[in-house]
This record gives sequence, structure tokens and C-alpha cells, in this order.
Amino acid sequence: MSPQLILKQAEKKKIDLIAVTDHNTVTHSVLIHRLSKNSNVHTVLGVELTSKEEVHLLGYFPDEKSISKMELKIKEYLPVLENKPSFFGYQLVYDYQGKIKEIDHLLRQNALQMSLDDLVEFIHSIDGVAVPAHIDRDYCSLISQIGLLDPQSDFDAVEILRFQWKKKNFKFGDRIKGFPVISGSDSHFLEDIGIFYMETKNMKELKEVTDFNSLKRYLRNIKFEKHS
Amino acid sequence: MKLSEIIKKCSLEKVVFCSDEEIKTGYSGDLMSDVIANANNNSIWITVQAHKNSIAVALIKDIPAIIFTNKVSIGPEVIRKAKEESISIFHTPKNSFTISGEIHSLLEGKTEQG
Repeated sequence: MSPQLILKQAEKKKIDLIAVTDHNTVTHSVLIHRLSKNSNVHTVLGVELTSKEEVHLLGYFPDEKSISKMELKIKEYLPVLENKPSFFGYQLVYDYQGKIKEIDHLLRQNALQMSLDDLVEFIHSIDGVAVPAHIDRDYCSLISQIGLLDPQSDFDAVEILRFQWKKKNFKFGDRIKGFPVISGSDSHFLEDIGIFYMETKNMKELKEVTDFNSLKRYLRNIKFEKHS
Repeated sequence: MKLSEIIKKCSLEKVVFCSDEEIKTGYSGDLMSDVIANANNNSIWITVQAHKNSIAVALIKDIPAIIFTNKVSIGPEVIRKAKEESISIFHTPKNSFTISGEIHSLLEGKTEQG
């Protein structure tokens, strides 16, 4: 899936805002962010990290300077091991023209040798947003690895599987244990893009969420909104 | 010790049996990255992590056999991948502590006593 095709598909599906969050790599997220400047689709820079405890954690970042610091951390803490393309597939890296530039040989599925708490702290230190991914999944999630969602933890939101979102009729703006809850299509194939998107109780509010800063502000408002 | 002998002595239930490998040692762990970092080749791996990526970890580490403990459910995708990659997988209702102890005494018990 090249960033060019992802962007084209998102345009076709009339999606306003997307984030590309590959496993332990930021290359394509940066590329699509640059490409989207000539598009109607807005993008947020992001990555899906694997902590030492094998909890998947989404990180979102305000700009390239911030996400490049994340990239350096990944480089420092990802064990140097080779990918098994026969199992996980080839990790293709595309260039600005949509051509394959190189093959990434590192095993990106592996865990960073950095704890969940340290990753969250680091993301915050570079002004990013930290969101544990698919917390209700039975593999590589906060619940499967740590056992519970601590209301005292420093997450900016939590993500759940889209099936659960639909089942429990969540809306953008809802909370779980005080944390804003989000979901996504988790598209691993082009056809998945657009099969899911978040709706809100207040469409006017949603229209204001068009980039990282407005997203961060919106999540913060939900998190610290007084329970009425 | 031959894998077939371990299967018999520990009463393991065969889910996928590929070949009767010589097993030198074992490793117990549920964190993939820990197994990748620390397990020896030709180990038998004891875990509750019945995910298809367990098969990938076994491949990466040249681990010929995995025992899924506590009778965790093994999805069809895991079985398909195991067959495809020729990794033997077994099921047991025992927990990881018990089965690790049994295999440890089978493989390494004698040397410690002697």
C-alpha cells in the first residue's frame, strides 16, 4: 500500500482526516503528510509502537521535527533482527513519486526495549499524543498484557476495535474510565479504507478537528470535562 | 530426546505434528520479544500465546515445536500457518509451570542428579 494510493482512496471515500500509523516506523506517515498538502484529505503524523511489555501504543505528533525524534528513539530501541518476508510480507518503502525505493529488512513486528510508561512519557516530551491501541483485543493490547486500564495512567485517549465501537454504539466524545475513546478502520488493505469512520454527537465540533492540534485540544477537552 | 518421546511422557495432544526432531532444551515464555531474544535453537517452546505470530517466532528461532498450555484455544489460522511452515504444535490442559517442570526433568534432570 503506497501512501499515494492510500491518499487517493481516502479522497474517493471523502474522508476528512486520516492517520497512517505503521508498526515501529514513521517513513510512510511522513510521506503521506507531505503529499496531503495538495489534497482535500488532512493527515496526522503517527506511528504504532510496541512497548517492551508488547502493548501496542499509538503515537500522534504535531510536526516532522517531533516525529523525527520518535524515529530516532525507535532506531535506538528496536532490536536489530531481520524480517521474515515469507511470513510477514515484504516491507516496501515508497518514494515521493510512488515508486518502490527500497525494502526495509528490519523486523518491525518486534518490541522496542522501552517500557510503556517510558514511551508515553517520551511522546509527551515531544508534544505528542499517546493512545494505547485496541485495548480490548486479546493480543498485544493493554488488557491482554497489563491486565487493566489504570484510571491514573497518563494516556490522552484509548483506542478500541471498530467492532466494539459499533456494538456499544460509541460516538466521538465518549469516554472509558475517564479517557476519550477513539476507533479506526485499522486498514491493512486499500479496500479497508473508509469502511469505518468516527461520528460525533456534535457535527459542528467534529468539523473543527482538522489536524493534530485541534485533535489534541479536542481530546484534552473531553478528558478534563467535568462529569455533569 | 526425540520429540515423540516427550509427547508420550507428557501426554501431549498432537495438533500439528511435522517431524520427530531431536529436542535439546526448552524455553517457557509468553512475550514474543523475550523468546526471540533468549530462546535457544531446537528448543521446545512452552506458552499460552496461541497467536499466528507465535509460528513466526518459532521460524525465526528455529524452534521446531510449541506446546500451548492451559488448553488455550488455537485458531484455525495458527494451525494453517504451523502446517505451512512445518512447526509442530501441541495442546495440554496443564499449566506452563507443570509442563516446564516435566520437560526439564526429562531433558536435564539426569545431568543435575549425576
